[in-house]
Amino acid sequence: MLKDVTLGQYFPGDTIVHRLDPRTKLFCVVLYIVEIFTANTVCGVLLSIATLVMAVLLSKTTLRQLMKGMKPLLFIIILTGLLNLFYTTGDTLVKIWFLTITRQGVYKSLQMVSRIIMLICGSFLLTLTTSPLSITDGLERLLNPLKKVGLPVHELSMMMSIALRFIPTLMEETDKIMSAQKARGADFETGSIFRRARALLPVLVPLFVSAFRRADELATAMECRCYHGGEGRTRMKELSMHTRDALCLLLFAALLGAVITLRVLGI
Amino acid sequence: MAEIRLEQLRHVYSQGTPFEKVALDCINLTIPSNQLLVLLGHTGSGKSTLVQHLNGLLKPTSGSVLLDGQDIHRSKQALHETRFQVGLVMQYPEYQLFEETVYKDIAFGPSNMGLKGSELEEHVRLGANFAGVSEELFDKSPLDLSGGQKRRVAIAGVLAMKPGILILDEPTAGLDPAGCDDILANVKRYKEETGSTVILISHNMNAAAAIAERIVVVCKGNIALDGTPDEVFARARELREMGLQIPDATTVRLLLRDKGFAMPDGISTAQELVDAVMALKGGKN
Ligand SMILES: Nc1ncnc2c1ncn2[C@@H]1O[C@H](COP(=O)(O)OP(=O)(O)OP(=O)(O)O)[C@@H](O)[C@H]1O
Ligand SMILES: [Mg+2]
Repeated sequence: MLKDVTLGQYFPGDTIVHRLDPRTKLFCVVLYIVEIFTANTVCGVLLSIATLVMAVLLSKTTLRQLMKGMKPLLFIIILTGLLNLFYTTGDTLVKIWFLTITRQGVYKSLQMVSRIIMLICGSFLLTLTTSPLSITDGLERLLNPLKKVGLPVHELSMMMSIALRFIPTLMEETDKIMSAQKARGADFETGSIFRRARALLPVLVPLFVSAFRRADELATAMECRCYHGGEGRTRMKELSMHTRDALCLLLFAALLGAVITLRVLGI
Repeated sequence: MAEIRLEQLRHVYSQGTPFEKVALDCINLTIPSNQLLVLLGHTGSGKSTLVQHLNGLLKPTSGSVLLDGQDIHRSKQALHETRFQVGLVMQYPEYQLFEETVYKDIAFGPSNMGLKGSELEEHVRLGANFAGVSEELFDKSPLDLSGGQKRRVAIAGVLAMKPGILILDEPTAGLDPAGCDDILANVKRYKEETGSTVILISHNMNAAAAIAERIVVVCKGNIALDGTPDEVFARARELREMGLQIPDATTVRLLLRDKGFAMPDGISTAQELVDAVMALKGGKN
């Protein structure tokens, strides 16, 4: 199903990670990314891995879900690993034909690969445990100060939530239209690239027609309910910070502090 | 012509995720050729899922779909040919129109079959005729049509492939009563003139009672009842428990019987009701 391979990574749940305020989670991800890139010692890297494992366990995310996010990037991860392994100069460990593996190479490659994996898993954890709508809400609130310099924060976040809201709908619709055309013998799977691209026409035309119709209807519906932009608009679900958010932020700040200390001390 | 058989069919949507949903549990069903079968069931009972297995749009999670005794998923080629033998008009089919003109859109299916020239034209006209699309519309853009006209063009697009098994998923939903009757009458005519099998999903009990030769009731992914309209509508209480209505004529029969009139079982159409009442009066006017 098309629906399974999209942004719809959000898996509803009721763990502490799910309940955290989206702003907290966004901040923590930023802190964590800084942490990953600061960590350059064995202890630092291990600490970053431990942080991730803790978050994964707390959110009851399964390894399979994480792997699903990693899969499209697997090639890049492997390539980075190999390039670093073979192209780092230093003390030679093994020499096979024209390829040399150095001690520094092994170290560097492990470090790079673990960094990328942690980066992907960390940000993936955010989208797995936070609905796209709360992410945009959180972003809107975080970017609010930028309104002063004329950035249309509310409009941007409204556009983003509408886009996110309609991605699954459009996916479902694509599925339905493809089924309907397949029922009339359309063939999307065989033939040259050119033929396959042409075969998509019977899907794209109805899809665009319906997307424009939907956009039109949505605009009318919003106007009927007196939508007038962000000025003076209140929310039904106010975001609110709790003790757990403060604790979580403190924890991540402390972890970052620890990693920086480790880096300075060089252990 | 063609017999279609479902064996131990099971379908689970989004297997292995928190959204997992068993849509079909264990379906065993044989549909002989040239039968007009109506599928009934509460919303969400799995009717659309069931019919999408018949032409291989959905692949069973387990179990098999046999067309004339052969599994339709045995090869890509076989699956492709099945699509032409088993024509499926999906629920709300009007969104599938895409060509510049009505004629070209109806011709999409038959030209995918490899038809050309006069044979193609003949198929298009046949489809349009059975679906009630008048030839004046042929040069119009499908986007300029009314909802009901779009529906008919979409149905014509499937009929133009002259499928030996025709499946219609709620073809009359949202149409005016006259339009409904017209479409159903045409479907019946298609079945009789071409000797095809027709499988119809409907929420309209009166229509179902009037045209069905056999009724299959789906409930929560299983087949709950299977029989002639008389047999099925005789189980009025079970139908009501499944959240289904019974035809008006059957309701009247039950009311009359409660008032002490000796009404025979198996009344589901207005004509049968009239006959029964006439018989009560001793055939006199
Ligand atoms: N693409 C899908 N992904 C996940 N679940 C689905 C999907 N399509 C249908 N379902 C679920 O499967 C069940 C059966 O759906 P189906 O469309 O077959 O019902 P139906 O009998 O055709 O209903 P209706 O009369 O409303 O058309 C429903 O509970 C529905 O929520
Ligand atoms: Mg349905």
